[in-house]
Amino acid sequence: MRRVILHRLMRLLATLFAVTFLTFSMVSLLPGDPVDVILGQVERTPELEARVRSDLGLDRPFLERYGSWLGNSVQGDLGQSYITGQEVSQLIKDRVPVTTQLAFMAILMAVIAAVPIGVLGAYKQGKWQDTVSSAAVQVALSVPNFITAIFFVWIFSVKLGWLPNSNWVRVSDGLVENLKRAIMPATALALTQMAIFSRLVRADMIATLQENYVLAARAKGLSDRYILMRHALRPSSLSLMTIIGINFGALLGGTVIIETLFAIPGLGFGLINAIFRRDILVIQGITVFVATVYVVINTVVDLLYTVIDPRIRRS
Amino acid sequence: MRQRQLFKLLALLLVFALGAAACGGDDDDSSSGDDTTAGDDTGSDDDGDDAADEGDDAADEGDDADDTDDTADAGDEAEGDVDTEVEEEDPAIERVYGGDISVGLEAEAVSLRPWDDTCSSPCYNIQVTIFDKLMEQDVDGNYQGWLAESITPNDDFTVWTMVLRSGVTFHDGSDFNAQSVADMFPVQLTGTQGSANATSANLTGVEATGEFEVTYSLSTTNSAFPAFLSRAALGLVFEPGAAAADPEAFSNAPVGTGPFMMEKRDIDNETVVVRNDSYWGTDPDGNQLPFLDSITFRPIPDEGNRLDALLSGTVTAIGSLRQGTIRDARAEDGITLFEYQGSTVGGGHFNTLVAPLDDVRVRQGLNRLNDQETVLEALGGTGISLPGTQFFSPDSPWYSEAVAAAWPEFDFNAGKALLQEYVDDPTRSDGRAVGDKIAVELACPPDPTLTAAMQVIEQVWTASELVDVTLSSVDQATHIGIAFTDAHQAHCWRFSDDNDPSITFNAGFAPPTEEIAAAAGIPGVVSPVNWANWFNVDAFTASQAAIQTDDFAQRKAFYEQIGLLMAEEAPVWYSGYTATMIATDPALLGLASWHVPSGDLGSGLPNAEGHWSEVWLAEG
Repeated sequence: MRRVILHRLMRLLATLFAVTFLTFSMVSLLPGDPVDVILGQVERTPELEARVRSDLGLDRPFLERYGSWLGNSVQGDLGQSYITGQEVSQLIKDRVPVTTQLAFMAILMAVIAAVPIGVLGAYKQGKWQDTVSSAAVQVALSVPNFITAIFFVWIFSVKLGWLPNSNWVRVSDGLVENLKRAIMPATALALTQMAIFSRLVRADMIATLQENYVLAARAKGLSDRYILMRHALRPSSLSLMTIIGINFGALLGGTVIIETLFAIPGLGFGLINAIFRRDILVIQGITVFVATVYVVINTVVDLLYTVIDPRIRRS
Repeated sequence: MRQRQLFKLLALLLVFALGAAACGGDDDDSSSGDDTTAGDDTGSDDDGDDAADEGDDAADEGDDADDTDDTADAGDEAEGDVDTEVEEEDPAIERVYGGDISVGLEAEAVSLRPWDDTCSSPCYNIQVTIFDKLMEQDVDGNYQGWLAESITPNDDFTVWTMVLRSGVTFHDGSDFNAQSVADMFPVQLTGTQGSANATSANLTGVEATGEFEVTYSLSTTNSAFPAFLSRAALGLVFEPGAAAADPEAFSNAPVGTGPFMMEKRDIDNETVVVRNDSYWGTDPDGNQLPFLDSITFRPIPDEGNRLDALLSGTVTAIGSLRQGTIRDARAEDGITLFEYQGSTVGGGHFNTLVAPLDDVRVRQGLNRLNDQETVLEALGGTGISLPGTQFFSPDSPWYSEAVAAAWPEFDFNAGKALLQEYVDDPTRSDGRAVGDKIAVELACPPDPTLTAAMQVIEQVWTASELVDVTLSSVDQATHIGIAFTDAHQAHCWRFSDDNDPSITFNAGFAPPTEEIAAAAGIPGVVSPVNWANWFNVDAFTASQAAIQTDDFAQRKAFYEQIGLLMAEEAPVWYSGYTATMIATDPALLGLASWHVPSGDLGSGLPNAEGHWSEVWLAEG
């Protein structure tokens, strides 16, 4: 086990190095200059432009800037935003709980809905229940989440006036108000996840239900419910766990549109603003954070396999 | 059995939700507005005032103009267009103290240091609650004192003596006086905006010459200098000690003398300002300002969702610079619109230093092939924005009928004839063979309606069969950068504003390169913000002459002369004037009729920038 963890750790470091270098390179190579964003359309002099460039350290060669950033980063200093002057680490710290909450709610809602739908589809394979649930899942998968979100806003904010469509409230400022604002974006994110998860559960369950040990359990006269829950669901949940891990990591960096639409101050909203402002250190900081979480989650998921399936542990 | 019950329950819930949605809200409901679909633009834009941010949403000829009684009256120029008329709030309505409101803005004000940070409409909305200006524009476009009581120039407009209001304190309790203004100057020079504005104004020194007397020294004559004291970089008053001590911290905890004080700053979420109980200002009836207890500013980038936030009561007011949003808001009942069409005009510039755009026949020809009405339709501005002919809207005192008449109108055949002349010219500047098509690259940020507008232009230019148009799309930051580096041909852009014309014209028409400056006998006078790189010695001379005098008629004649030269040489093309709006809950009153301290009406709400100190909530 120790060797596995060490191996994973090495892979994490290599991944992070690649991610940071590529992000730094790509953002630096993009047309558009942070100096232009900072100066706007003012009547600038070459001296003023040079001063701003020097203040930001942009007058140094690329590799020197990257090396300096990397050196500071490993000591926990991700630098300051070029535009707002905020500490990048603080900015990430402020935004992580917001996006994590959304991602967690979305995944939780998706799993709660997906498992029964998937199990039902597998158990009633080919019957009308399977047809209806598959069609519903297909619809959920086909409609982009921002379209669903706009529809939710129309119904629940504009027409019914039940839920606010912006004005984010942090959990620390009131859980109920926070949930009123989180429920629409989280549900919009959850629908796509639910569709993916339920298809996966259905497919895995169908395969599992044809295993010999399930047939043996049936022959022993065990109830369908018992067989489904005790013998079929657990081995069928391995791929679900993998995809939950992958999608949770993906959601941390993939809520850009939903966060922008609902004006939610999370990582996605921060990232898109930083890209528009050419705020390189913020882009870099958020990207590194998301990449780290992504790799860590996947490592944890891999390790959890051994807990869920004794065969993997033994091998 | 249980499953069946579950399905029934789900079906019932769905039917109930849809039914409630269909019936919910009432067309006559005055507080929340309703009966609309959400705005359909899911794109977002960065900072509001940047280039080429002139409109959005798909074209829609249908227009429900002036549905609401409170919409600013339409002007005479075109049915339904946005007018800049500012109306006095009914004095009989009782002013009420108290209440908290929230305002949805199109973007976050990333930083609140007026001397350093690029500011746009959202940022100004917040800044004017915290900082007072030294000067402010009244409804007629004149500059009046705000924290200044008076400002007097010497004979050649190189020295300006300003007398300040006494009895004003900063939010931290310290006194505001002439030394405060003098101490602000070194801080301003450390900032990008402050130093650039000081350079533009030719400002060399600020000195406290009495407890409440400040003397500004300029290196050259500038009769329009007070205009700079109404702008953020040199005009907003901040506590210089706090600013100099820690500029980064100041950005999130700014200290001014304004009607509200910073309470909470959560970037990209909310900025909360609360009433300054010690504020010096009163309205013309002597009521102590401000009326509201607090204002929460929220960035809501998505245009449709911002309007929905108002309609659902999530926020009390929203701002928008988009014609499409104005069109959608006009179709709603139960909200109040404060519309404004200022002198900011959309369109684009030709880089007159590169072939074939260095030839006036090509620029004139392309202008004749600019079907403004169709472009405006693509921008969603039909019936909202007027076609542009110059840097001043028809409501501006600087507007010139002569320039409007001289500007090349859409005339396909005339445009084609001009281009044909160039194409057939053996000495054509692009070096192509006689008869070859002209190649033009047309660049614009990837906003959906801007793209639609550019496609209209592309189609008409291409239909001449004399132009190959390449459309290119880059994000806003890159777009501006390309204009600075002159790596462009035809570039969509937004020009001008409601400030004194000298602020746009002086830098806008100065020599674009050192070589041109030297050839004109004015070495060293180079402007990087001459976007079209168009230099006409007569236009430049007129722009300089216009700041040698404070006689309005003379100054207007100079700007008219520049407008006529532009019509002749066509360094730019226009779509339309930029209509803007603040939409509010009807309970919010007093927004449009803010006043300068003399009691005169202020300049209204250009660029959806509200003055919130005279606003109150009807219910308190």
